[in-house]
Amino acid sequence: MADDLFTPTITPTAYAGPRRPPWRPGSLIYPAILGGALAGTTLALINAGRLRLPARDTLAIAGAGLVALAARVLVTTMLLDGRVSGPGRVVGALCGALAWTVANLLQKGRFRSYEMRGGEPTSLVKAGIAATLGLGLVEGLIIVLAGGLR
Amino acid sequence: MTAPEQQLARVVALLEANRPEQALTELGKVGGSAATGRLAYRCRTVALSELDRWDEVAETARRGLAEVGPDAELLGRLGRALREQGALAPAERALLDALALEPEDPWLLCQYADLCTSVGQTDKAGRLVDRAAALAPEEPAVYASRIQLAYARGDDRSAQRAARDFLGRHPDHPAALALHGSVAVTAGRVGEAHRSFGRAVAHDPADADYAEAAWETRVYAHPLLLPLRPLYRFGFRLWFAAAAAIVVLNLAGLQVAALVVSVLWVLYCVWSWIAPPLVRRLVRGRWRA
Repeated sequence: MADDLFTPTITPTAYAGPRRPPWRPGSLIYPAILGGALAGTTLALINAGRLRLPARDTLAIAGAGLVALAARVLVTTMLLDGRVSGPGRVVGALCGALAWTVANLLQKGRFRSYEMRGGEPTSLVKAGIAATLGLGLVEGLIIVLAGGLR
Repeated sequence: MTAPEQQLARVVALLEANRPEQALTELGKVGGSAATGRLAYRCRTVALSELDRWDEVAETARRGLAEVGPDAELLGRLGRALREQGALAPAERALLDALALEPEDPWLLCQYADLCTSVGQTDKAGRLVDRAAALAPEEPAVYASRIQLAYARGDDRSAQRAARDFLGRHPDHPAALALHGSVAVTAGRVGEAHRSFGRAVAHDPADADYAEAAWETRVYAHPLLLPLRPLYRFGFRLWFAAAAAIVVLNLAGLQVAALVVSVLWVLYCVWSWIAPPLVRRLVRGRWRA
């Protein structure tokens, strides 16, 4: 049967279960919006590893995260005098949402395939709260430092 | 027709009536060489598949293949069972062996497409589904594979369209109802999903997956989660609407109103995060009590 459709393409090791189950990509919006682009992107990159995303997609997530973080730092320091509360908080949420949008687009299909193989997502609650508080604070410090340099 | 043949005809009728448990009981009564014939093995694997007893499906299919020789249907059932067991490469081998015998069987093509979809090989899966659709466009397996493929590609609109078409063509098919329910969940239409899964369970009470999905949508229909329905329905669009409202209020100089909206929005988000697992625990606890 000379038909490339009927050529085996599934290798035994390529689809072994992940070392740790991934998070639902849609849930990453919470730390991304509440904690900012740094928190959202860090969790999205960990999730990319768990979902075995291709290197190109992982780099795109990292790139979008960096752009979102740079945009937040620039807008907050240049237009809002380094204030992270009030409108500064909204800018942080929008930049987090931007980083999440790219991560979600690139991870959704891979996560759904994982689900179709019977995989279950793991809870994001602990890691999400830790990233929101810890990395949200780091992002705030970066803004303060950038404001000081200006 | 001999007595064993009549018994096997009854088994086939029971399977067509979606009564796999009774079909298995009836198969146990079949005597003579018919009990170890090709049709008996095929019926047994179909019944066990309907009951999601995948270990037994694999074992029965292997025994059948050893007894009656190469058989596309038994190899297809073996492939499906191996996929459910997570043995993806052996599943592919079994399905390719089946397709070597019956390259134009739409059900086998769809099984292979589903396997490719589940490992993220969506381009190949798409070509397999197209080939199956060219052979049998109205086959339920073709609709089901098309929906799963669109879902895995993240193309929710195509999945919704295919689910509507499937339900329009086969309004009482349990898979059509369940897939319609799954697509409704993705679109945040919880009530519609709950009704669809409820009807799927009514048409196929033996399927544990439909029952589980019906239970899950029942959780999401809980009164404590009612405020979250707009969030499920509109997703990130609601996030942007809230952020835009806060920006507009700030620009209009209404800082207090902006602060109130911000605090309410954060509380709403926190609720949407912690409430579903809380309600699930609550409902499960009540069921156990």
